[in-house]
Amino acid sequence: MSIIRKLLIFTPFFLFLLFFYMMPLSFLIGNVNQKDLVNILLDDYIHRLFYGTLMQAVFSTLITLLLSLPLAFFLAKYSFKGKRILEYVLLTPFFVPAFTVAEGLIVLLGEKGIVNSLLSQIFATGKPVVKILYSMWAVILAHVIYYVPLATLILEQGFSSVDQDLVDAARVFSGSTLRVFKTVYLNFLTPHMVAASLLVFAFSFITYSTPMLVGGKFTTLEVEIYATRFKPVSSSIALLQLSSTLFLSIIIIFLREKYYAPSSVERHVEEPVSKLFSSFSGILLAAYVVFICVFELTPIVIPVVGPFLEAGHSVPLLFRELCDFKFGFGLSLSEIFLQSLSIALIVSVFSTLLSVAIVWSSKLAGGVLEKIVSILMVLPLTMSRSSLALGILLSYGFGIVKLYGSWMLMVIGQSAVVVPLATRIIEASWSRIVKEYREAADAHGATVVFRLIRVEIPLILPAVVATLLMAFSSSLSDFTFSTFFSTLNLMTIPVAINLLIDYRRLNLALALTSLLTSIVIIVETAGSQFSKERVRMI
Amino acid sequence: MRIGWRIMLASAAAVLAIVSSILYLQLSQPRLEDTLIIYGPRGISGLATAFVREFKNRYPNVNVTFISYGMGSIEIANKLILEKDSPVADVIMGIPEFYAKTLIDAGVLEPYRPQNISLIPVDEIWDHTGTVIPMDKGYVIITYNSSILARLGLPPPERLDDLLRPEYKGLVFYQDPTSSGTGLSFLVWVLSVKGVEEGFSFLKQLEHNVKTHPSGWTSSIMALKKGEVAIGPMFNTDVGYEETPNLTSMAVEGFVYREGIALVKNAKHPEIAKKFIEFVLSTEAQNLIAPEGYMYPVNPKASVELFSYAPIPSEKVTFNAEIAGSVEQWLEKWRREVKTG
Repeated sequence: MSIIRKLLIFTPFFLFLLFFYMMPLSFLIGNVNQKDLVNILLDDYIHRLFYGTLMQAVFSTLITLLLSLPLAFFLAKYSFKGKRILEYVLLTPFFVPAFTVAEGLIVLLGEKGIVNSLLSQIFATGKPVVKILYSMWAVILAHVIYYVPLATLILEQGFSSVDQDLVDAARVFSGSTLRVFKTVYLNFLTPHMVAASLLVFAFSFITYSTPMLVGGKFTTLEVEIYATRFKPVSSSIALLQLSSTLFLSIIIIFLREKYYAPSSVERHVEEPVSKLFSSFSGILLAAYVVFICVFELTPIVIPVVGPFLEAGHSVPLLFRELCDFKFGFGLSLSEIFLQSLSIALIVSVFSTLLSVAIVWSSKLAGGVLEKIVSILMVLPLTMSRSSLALGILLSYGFGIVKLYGSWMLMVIGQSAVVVPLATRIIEASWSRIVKEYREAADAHGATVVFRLIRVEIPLILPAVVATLLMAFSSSLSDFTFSTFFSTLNLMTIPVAINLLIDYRRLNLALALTSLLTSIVIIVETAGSQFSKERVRMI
Repeated sequence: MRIGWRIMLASAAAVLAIVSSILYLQLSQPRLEDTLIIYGPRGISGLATAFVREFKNRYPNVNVTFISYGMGSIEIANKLILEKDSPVADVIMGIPEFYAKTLIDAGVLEPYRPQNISLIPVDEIWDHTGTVIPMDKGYVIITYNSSILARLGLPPPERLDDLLRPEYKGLVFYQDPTSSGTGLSFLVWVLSVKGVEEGFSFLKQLEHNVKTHPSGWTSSIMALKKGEVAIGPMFNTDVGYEETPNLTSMAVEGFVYREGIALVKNAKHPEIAKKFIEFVLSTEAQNLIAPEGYMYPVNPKASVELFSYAPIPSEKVTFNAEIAGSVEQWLEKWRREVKTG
């Protein structure tokens, strides 16, 4: 294939990068003042923030990893009905608004919360035992809740790639479980542990809403960017943070390229879950899994059912009040739902189509170009959303085009974040297409377009549907871009929740939050029925 | 190449859904050209919406929109300054009294004396350059959870200095002024009473008693509702709120938070913008203020019956104009020396 043709094939990816990232970021970097940049590099306050953010991210990562390992082992080793649904329901905290988890944490861990009430009764202390709310540890705990499911799903792949024959042989020769883990499992798990750790670290490093909601006096670099976001110095801090996450991304990519090979497992055996109860350690593991599921889902369930359980708040009454409420310039709830669903539909179809085009073209180009696409698509995953939203507002809202007030700006912002995730899912599914199918199509003289439509797309169809649903739920629950780009004629459900809060209608805001969370859970569960590729986004 | 009917059907359904979505969004959105654009903070969206709705009833042929960009009052004011050479907005509303000087000094506002200013008592007019016109006001007071203080056998706080009592350790909160209007009002209250130097030293001492700085109203209510905190500044209309029935106040000392509205210099639609400002001062518009939020009208003919339950502070502190013009430095100092100091 000629170089020019290869480059032409590369166009979808290049246009994505140029339009969604390079242009907005160039507007952002254009704002950076060299003096500001030097000042913040020497600034003791920024050093303190950097150190606090770093420590918080390190602890979030270590605890997440530690808690995820046994759960991942359980999911890889044992089979049971509804396993896939459980995996995706567990992923819910990753997609629900931060506000939901924060409220759940307050109810759980507050001085008068469930945990403290129980502990103070057990230990007869008469006062709270656990005092971590409004501290760095509350932020870490929230991150652990968010990212344990994500890390588990990555580690589960690691455990699944362990050859049962090797485990059996190691057991025969060594006998000790610890030695089996060290000699067999650790080898296979290392790349997955590295990938999971770096991703959790990067996400925790760019945290914003969690410290704002439950961190008390603890603050992070992202919060500082937000606090100064309309001052030139914000761009310099954003650049510092961007460089740090870029550095991290490069490490992720490097390790991914070095270790992350498709599984070549000879024999992976899943045992029925009933076998677990034949030994004491098995019962312990089962109890641990139940504990983690409760730990993960309680902070979500409490805010979802809470508004309906409180005295005087009957479900029909709350929904009638919500339906009668007029948002913005007289928008009704149904109009807001229609706007949200329309935007989510456009974002999901556009992002999925673009992702298919990017993966298809990169696979056609092959070689170095394919690798470059794969590598660069990891970078946006670790980028600060508020910095990107600011760049998009500057460039497309009021810059080269004036799209402020149009739904298109919201679609651009949300797609910028969804496309890299969608690409990873499609790419993972595409890599599993058996080479012989493609060669057979080529041998029969099929064109690349024919091969795409008749061979490749049908084979990745479950992943395409799962991608559509992932993009749909991400768009529905997006808060950052929706807040930046909404007007009183155009708003999504998270913005409407915010507006209800401004009107001091907390019960309605919580009811709408619980409705949104329920929709996200349903879409997530539906997604789980289509494809397992969604977890392969790393 | 033959394409199966199922793929054709699915593609047709997808295309139809997309086209319908685009058409729906496109047709339901008004165009911004030839529209009177009003800037203001996100927190007053409800009130702004009510103003615009009524204004449109009065002038049915005029297109009006309110834009907040999800920003707070300081940010939207700074945005106006950034757009000085080519202003997007015609009117800006919700200008805090303590940030008016920055806007006036930046030269982005046009002095304008509306006829309806005659409806406003002289003591409500705080910008004597005649540029920012008073729109509404609210009272920030020290509130407390009566049941928690009674259980702990603690006296209720009355004044700012009471917040430093050692027995209140871990019970006090005040909102993060970088993200909350109430928090910023509290900061300005302290600095207005004590001056900048002494004010910051007070806030540093207060930090020993502070449990958290909620990001805004919701997180404050949540923390109060769950009994995580018991004492802190809130608007007087939050007292007696159904979600926090034990929240009360001695209402001795309180800060009067005052907001204004102004005409933007080089506005594209100055005549209709002036009509809007006139309208905002009218009794009809001022009657909308209480039902749409937590602020009081400045026109004495407007009704405040809805707030009959809310305690008015007996000693009212207003912004000390001598310290005007440094809000951003205060916020930076607060982040660096108080919150993380």
